[in-house]
Amino acid sequence: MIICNNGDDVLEFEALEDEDVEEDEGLPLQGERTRAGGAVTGRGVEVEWQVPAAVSAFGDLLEETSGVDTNVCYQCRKCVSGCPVAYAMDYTPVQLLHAVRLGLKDLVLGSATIWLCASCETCVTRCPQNVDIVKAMDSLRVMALRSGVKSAVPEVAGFYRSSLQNIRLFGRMYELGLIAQLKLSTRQFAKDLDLGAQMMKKGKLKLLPEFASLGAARRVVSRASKLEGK
Amino acid sequence: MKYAYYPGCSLHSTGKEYDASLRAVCLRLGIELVEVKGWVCCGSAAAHAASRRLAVALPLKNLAQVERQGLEEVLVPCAACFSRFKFAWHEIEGQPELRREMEDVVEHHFGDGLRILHPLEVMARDEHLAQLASLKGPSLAGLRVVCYYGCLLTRPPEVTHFDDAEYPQSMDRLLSALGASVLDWGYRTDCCGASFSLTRTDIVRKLSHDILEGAREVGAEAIATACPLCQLNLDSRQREIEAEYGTRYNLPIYYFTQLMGLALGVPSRELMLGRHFVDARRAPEKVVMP
Repeated sequence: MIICNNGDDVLEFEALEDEDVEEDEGLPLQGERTRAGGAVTGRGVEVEWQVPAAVSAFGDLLEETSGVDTNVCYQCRKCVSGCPVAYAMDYTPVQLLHAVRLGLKDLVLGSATIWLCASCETCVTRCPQNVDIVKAMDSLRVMALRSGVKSAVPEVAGFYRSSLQNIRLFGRMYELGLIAQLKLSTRQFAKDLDLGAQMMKKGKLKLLPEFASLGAARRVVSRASKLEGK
Repeated sequence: MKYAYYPGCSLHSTGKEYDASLRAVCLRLGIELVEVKGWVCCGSAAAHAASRRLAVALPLKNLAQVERQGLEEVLVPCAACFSRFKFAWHEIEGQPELRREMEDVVEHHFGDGLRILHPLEVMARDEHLAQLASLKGPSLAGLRVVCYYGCLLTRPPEVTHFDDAEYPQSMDRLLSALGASVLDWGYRTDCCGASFSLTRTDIVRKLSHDILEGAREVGAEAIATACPLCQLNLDSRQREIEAEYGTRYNLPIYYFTQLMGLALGVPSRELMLGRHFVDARRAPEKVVMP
């Protein structure tokens, strides 16, 4: 029994055990589990309440793969106000988290938001509920790439793919190779040509890749991939 | 003092000036850098979007090499690499099972003494600040500069354990000790658009514009950075930004190590000031000779 004295009102909270909730069929449960529940008595009215947790299988899946529990988000929008890229997203980070909770898998994996997150860690640092949104975004990108969903921002998805291929091929980044690959995949051949030429002139792009650690990198990539079951 | 040194891919290409100036500064401060043998890419922006385990394994591969070379402290100057290294270490520290798995992958058993440091963290230590302040060399007294830390150096604090996430001060203290007029401003940890440079350049232009504008508002003549991506975005895209927003900034973007080098009397050629897009040869003129 928890008693809250809030000015004139005395509220009595009676914590329910998990078993109580599961046994009580009269509760309007949407999911299988409840995380918290209780009964409130005040001014002669008794209200039973619970917070349904993990209402969607998709939310569960995200929690399994990333360790991020989207159910603790209480939508304060602090992540949105600090997000430097929110202006360009189709769904703000808080909307995306809510969509995960609602199980809207196609909407989430097809969103531009997961590709436009710059991983700047501002939201994570400021979230009062410690929801690691960047980690969630990472997992959602992995899911999207693996399930073959068409990316809403194909050039960014292409950048991730090309970068990884670059690491696999050379062990270290070979920027010219990466740029060439990006141009082939996005077919934007004229983009940044001028800038690229200036960078070459200033010696900011190496002409040839370094192969110093190729074997070691390949080994790590293949061993890690094996663990991920692909 | 001796540290393992992980330059990362950028410092071998777009950020060569960072590598050169850091080495020059360390040499003069008596800090020995031992480059990690056969280092591999840390996975940077890509690995964490492809596989959680790969994103941890690639930095750990390099950290294993640090320990094999008999060293325990590694300097990681690129803010993105620094972040990946810190994350990887944080993940295995909190998850013994993942640690065992990863030790298998990189074929190395980690000790407990390993420390991942950003050069800024080392240089801004009290003993170095005192050493720098007591130098009778040139001073940066004529230079009005803002310190730009970017996103990943301090965030999130429980992973990076470095400076203050909202209001970092280490670079400010460092450049102040060298005599520079360090200005206060509101964009020290804002994002420049990071790796969207090649793909969503529109986002990089918008975010970098805001930062440049913030610097101009307080009357800065230069921006000091500690990340090769930030430097590149603010420097190489500055002319495009000026064209898009119909304004003129002409703000040179220095690596903090280049400014340190000037104050330590390193010739500007050695600091590669000529490689910047926005003319960076102005800072040497501001340096007050003793």
